[in-house]
Amino acid sequence: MRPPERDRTEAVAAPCTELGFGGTVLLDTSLLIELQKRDKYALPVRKAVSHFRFKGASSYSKLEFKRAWIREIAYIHTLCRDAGVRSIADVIDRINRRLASPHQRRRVQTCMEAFTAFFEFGKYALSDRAQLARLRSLCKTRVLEGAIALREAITSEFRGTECVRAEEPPTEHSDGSLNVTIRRCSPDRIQCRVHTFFSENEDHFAQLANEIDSNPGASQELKTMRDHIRLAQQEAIHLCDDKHCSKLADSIIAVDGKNMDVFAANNDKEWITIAKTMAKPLVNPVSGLCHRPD
Amino acid sequence: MNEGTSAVSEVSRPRATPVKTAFGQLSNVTGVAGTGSESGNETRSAVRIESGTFKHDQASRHPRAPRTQGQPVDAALLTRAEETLKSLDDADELDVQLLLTGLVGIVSDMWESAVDASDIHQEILATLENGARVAAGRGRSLSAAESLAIRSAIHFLKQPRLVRSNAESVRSEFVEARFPPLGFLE
Repeated sequence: MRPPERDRTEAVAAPCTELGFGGTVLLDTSLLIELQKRDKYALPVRKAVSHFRFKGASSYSKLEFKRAWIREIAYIHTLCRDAGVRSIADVIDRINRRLASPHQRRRVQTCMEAFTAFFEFGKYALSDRAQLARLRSLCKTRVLEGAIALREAITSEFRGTECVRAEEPPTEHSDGSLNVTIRRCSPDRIQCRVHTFFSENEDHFAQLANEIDSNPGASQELKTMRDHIRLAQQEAIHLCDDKHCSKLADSIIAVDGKNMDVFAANNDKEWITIAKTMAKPLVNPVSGLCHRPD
Repeated sequence: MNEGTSAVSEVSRPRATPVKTAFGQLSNVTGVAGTGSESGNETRSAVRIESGTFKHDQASRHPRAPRTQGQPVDAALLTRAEETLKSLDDADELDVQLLLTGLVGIVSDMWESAVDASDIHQEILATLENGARVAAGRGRSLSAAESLAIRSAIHFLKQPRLVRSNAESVRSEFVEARFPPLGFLE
């Protein structure tokens, strides 16, 4: 009996078993962050990539990591240092008063709630001053340790875009404050080679845009990515604006790591399409599934 | 199609500090406290972020000045933490969990005395507490690297004066021992 014919447009999901022994893998930002969380989240990722002899990441992921967590934690650190702040309640009050957009407030509050939950134990025994010192120091050390841990998680990194914003690690000023600068970029102030990187690898980006076009179920993020790829095809300098290059983030990371044998990520909505376009198997350590290109 | 444009460069793994991190060799690395300004009252907003992302009010122009010297962390608690670590060496599974939970409690209690300690002491204590909580969550005996990192942190906390590189050294050790920096995140 003939096996049923497979839809050739679909990648095949299967448990990850034999993939990875001795090979190379590209870790997406999502997994680099998972690796820094508690064991419940980090261990599946660590286990899934342990058989790869070489674990690579794009330097662009460092920028995404700063955007995803570091800035929010550093912001709480700043509030803890403010004159007039005497307790954690004051910090929460300032978050609510100062952050204009609900989106910003939600992200910073998520961090605060995570800290509060983590330190639930023992909180009643400590004075307001002690709690505040504890939160302030915790925020600072998480930011600084996070930067070290990101480097430790990989064998090597790719710097195809030479993104200056990614290369600025969080640092400590002599006054004890944190510098988590994420500079702005614009076409009249080009600081990297994202435009030349795009031109040199235009085939890959174009294939991805075509694949998204042919997929009616593509996510909104993928569609936005496609739109910016099309604009960059007309004029690559379009990407020399940080608001635009960030729309291509996952594709930049993938193209940067195109010489890896396998891609690893946990946001399937974007990465199944990206990996398929580039003919790479995709490992998702969180779901435990692999997607192999036909 | 150009396949060779992405530069692969070996990640430099700069340690934040040249300070020797092995526990037994730490005793000569403490020195004059602090490297920063002690008059930070006029410092502008303490964190620089993408322009327009966050709004700051006037108060953020006058953040708390960093404390480079201060009172030591409670010595009795530090001794208890060291004794707890020693007890872990020959503890069975049940005892390990109890001892690690106890260690978290001891470290948490240190914060009250650390309020008047230097910023560097407080940073090391924060790193230690994160590590102790992660270890207690794991509920198993400490690995050699984990134990070493915790011992180093306690060793530094006993010193009356610390420099910034001491805190950097402790951070590196905890990361190398695989204490996750974002261990608080769900």
